[in-house]
Amino acid sequence: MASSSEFSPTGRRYAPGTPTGFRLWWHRHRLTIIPYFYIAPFFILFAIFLAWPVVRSFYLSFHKQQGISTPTFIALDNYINLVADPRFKQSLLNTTVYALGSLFVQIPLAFILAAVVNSKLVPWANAKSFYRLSYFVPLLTSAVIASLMFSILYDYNSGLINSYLVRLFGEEAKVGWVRNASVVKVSIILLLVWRFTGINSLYFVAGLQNIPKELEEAASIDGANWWQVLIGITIPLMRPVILFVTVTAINGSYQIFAEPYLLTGGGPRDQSLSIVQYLYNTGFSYFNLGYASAIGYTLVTIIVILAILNLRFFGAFREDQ
Amino acid sequence: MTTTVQTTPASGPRYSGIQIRNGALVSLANFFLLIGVLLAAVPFIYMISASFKPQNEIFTFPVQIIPKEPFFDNYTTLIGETLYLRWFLNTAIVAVGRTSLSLLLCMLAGFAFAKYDFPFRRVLFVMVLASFTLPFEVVLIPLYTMMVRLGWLNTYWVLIVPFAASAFGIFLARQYALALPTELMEAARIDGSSELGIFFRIAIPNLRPALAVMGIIFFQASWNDFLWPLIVLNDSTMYVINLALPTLRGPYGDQYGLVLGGAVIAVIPIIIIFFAMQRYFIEGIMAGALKG
Amino acid sequence: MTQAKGSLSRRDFVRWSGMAAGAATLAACAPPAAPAGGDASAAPSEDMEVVVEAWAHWEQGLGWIQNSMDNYGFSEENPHITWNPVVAPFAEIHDKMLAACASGVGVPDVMRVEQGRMAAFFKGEEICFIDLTDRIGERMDDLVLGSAVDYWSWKGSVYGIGNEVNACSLAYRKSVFDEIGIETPFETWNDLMEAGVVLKEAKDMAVISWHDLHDGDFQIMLFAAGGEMFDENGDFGGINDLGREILEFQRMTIHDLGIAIAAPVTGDSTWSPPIYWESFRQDQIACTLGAPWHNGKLGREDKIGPGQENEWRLQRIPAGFGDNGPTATHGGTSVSIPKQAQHPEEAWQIIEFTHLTEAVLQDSIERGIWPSYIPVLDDPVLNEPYDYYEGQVIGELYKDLALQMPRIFQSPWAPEFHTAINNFVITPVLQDSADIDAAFSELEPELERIKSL
Repeated sequence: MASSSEFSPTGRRYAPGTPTGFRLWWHRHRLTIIPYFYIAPFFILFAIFLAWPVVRSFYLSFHKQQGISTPTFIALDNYINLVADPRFKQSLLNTTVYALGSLFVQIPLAFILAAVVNSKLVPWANAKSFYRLSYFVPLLTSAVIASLMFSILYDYNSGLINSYLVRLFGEEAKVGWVRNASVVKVSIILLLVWRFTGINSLYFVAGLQNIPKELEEAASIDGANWWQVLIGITIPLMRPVILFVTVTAINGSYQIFAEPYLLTGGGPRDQSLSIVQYLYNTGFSYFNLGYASAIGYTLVTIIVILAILNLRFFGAFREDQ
Repeated sequence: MTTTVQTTPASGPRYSGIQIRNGALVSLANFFLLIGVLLAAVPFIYMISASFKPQNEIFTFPVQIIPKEPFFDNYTTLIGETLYLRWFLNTAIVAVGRTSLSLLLCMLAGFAFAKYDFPFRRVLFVMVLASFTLPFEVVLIPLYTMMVRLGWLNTYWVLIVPFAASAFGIFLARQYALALPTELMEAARIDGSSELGIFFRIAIPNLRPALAVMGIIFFQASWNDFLWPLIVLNDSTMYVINLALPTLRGPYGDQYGLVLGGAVIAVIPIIIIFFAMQRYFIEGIMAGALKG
Repeated sequence: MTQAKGSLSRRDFVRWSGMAAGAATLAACAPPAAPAGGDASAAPSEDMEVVVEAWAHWEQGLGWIQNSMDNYGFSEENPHITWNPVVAPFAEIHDKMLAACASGVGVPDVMRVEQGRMAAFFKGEEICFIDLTDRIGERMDDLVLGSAVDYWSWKGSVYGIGNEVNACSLAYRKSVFDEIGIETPFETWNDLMEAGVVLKEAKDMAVISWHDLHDGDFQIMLFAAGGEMFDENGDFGGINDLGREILEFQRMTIHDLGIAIAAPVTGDSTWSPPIYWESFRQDQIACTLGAPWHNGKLGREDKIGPGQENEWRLQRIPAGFGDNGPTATHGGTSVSIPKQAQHPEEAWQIIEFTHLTEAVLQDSIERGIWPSYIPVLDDPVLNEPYDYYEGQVIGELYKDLALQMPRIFQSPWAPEFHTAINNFVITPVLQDSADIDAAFSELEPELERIKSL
């Protein structure tokens, strides 16, 4: 529109002077326009690569499509079947347990590690960074290798863990880490703790470092014990970091796939089957693409609801600092 | 930005009164921390040890950490008889390419969300966050179809481009950029700097620690990516390590020696990069990021 | 010092990867290389160069076909046809196959489909693969059908050929039974059970292990007894007296007699991971049931390996349940041609040559398997005495078993059904000694539900 006035028909530029037309408009509005260019790559890549797949699988979730035959419309049947599907419920339960495991085991552990490493209990700077790095290192291997190593460690007869248990407590103490239906979720959670505690701990360290020392010190001089300092000062100030770590952990937990899939294949008796693995099996082993899409969208809904609840709970989206 | 992080030496004079109790606590805490380090390291030790054993010794019990006789065949076979070096190069190219592109795109978007006010900002940001919840498996088949149509199978593009604008990266970049003082940007504007100039000359230098953090996270994610490369690569000369290693497990998936040897070599670059960058990384994690 | 060194190498790394990225950019932009451009002169001018792309989950599974083409004269006769193998890990190559079939793009000319993963392709109205029934034609009689085609057949049409005879047998450690004065081979499962009681007493060793996370043992015994895992409609055929007897036998040997153990496997590899074989090296188990790829040559490094030479033998599956067949099929991988293949005719030429002539022996030479192509079963290559089994000529046994191979049916719901059977029956019964009838009655509605999806 206004851009036509920018150039003369001969291509000669109007002499600069008082900004008119486009230039004026641009000058006034550039700060609201430029950010669109900055965020455009994400939306363009999303539109090119993901929009169609997202729409397509949404469409498929209302269809019966098995194998390579043409989809037939079945309205909400996939979703109705899903509600009654015991395997889906089992996978939802398992995945929720993984999420709870990361909320109540992994995150507190990461917080404690961060707090201890950051405190005067570790007086040497080199030791501090040594600990931080060591705990982070498990994330550096791929899930494939991590699961392979854990399947060797967890082995019933020859695994390192059981061989120590036997040495300490005798033959009866052997645990069927990946064979026993009632233990297997614990084994998966341990693997996840091993893999992800370090990174979460680093986030907490970052948060702790940002708390002005004076605040805590002032509180202790006023006679507050460490617990009161923790509850009254540290945790409230850490709220953004806790929010970040919690949302990421819940999101990650609900999308967990590689670790249980590679370690146990979802068994025994579906007791470690995650939602994404059920989706994956339905799509890729059972070739039931419509139903798999319905699982996918149900999962997205669950994650979004949880994320919104979290944001509400922590009162996020406050733009002001 | 050049100042190094100096961790203040602890246990100042104020605490001298309870030093003995403190000393015991320090020992105890460090004892447990060291046990934790050991636990974190055990699988690695196991992996390294097993990679120096022949197949039928890997699973002997009781467990032997030190191999009876060091066995180098896994490594010599890997280098001599497989395309391992080529896979390694592919993995490096993809990881470097994807990390660089991701850093640029995520920084731009995160910076925009943090420091500019524009219509629909919140809605658009929520859209970014929402895309983060999308399980990759849902879009796998349509996405694969599209890659075939584009003729991108067996190229580096297919691994670098589609997921370059990571929602998680944007979220993280925004968190870091929020801490950037707005006054600096205003001053630059008064000095006549263009907006892109502000991004490259003010945002990027001040967000270097954030770049380090995100760089490491992206790099390790790309280095360890698995399912996507598997679907879109057919040509074994284009394989990345993570995809190639399982093919060395044999038809029944039970030949571990080569896989473990390959995994040991594959983890080395990440560890080197991590250690080389650790100062920036820690600095970055601590650089006043992660504000609500 | 270290700092300088570190930054130097870092710079080198950046420069090196920058160069590599540049090269990669060029490579990525270049059009796909024309196949074998340099050797074009060798081909007859009227023939187009054809590259037959083939997918499989292990190198040798495609490599032997290439070698067979080279060694038995195919490549010489058809220099314009070349073989392009694509290998990826087990789960993923099958995912790629599904993705390719579902999208109809990027489809190869030959897919080697593992039997367990074939089932999914039989869902829906249309099947991704070319019907090979008429192409095989009369030569059907030359094949051990139970192993060669049944897993890849649906509603009477054949969609793939497996080149191995997967005739199951029982491997037993003869030396330990000799020591305690027990006569082998075992006529019936009852004999094996009685031997187990003595063995447990004398050497504290399990006579056999049953897989409790995998229905393989159940399946093998059911087939051998004349039962059906799946019927012609793809429904589970094990909920009957035969299935009940077999399960009860396995359960009883573990829980009542204590002479069998649960197979020592890992969660991700529930049939025979390395630790499974380790427990044989540790003298914990005396027998194992399975196909040639499982127990055919226990002396191999990836099985039991050195240390138990001359101690093992193979025998037919003991009798005692149902119709007393001596064997059953278990596992296998086909060659199949997708309908959307670029070069289906050339693909078939290769399959025909390598699977329906003596050229199939190449795989036996490389891997020691027994072919599903009957005319070659007397070949000396297959009938050499096997030292590890104290010179037993296992080829003779396998030929005998192959000719008595029972026929089976595939099911479109096989993967889901196997999971349900494991979850509702095999694991509870063998692990916790759950009531079999109760387990079956829980299984039935689950199978119906799966079919309704």
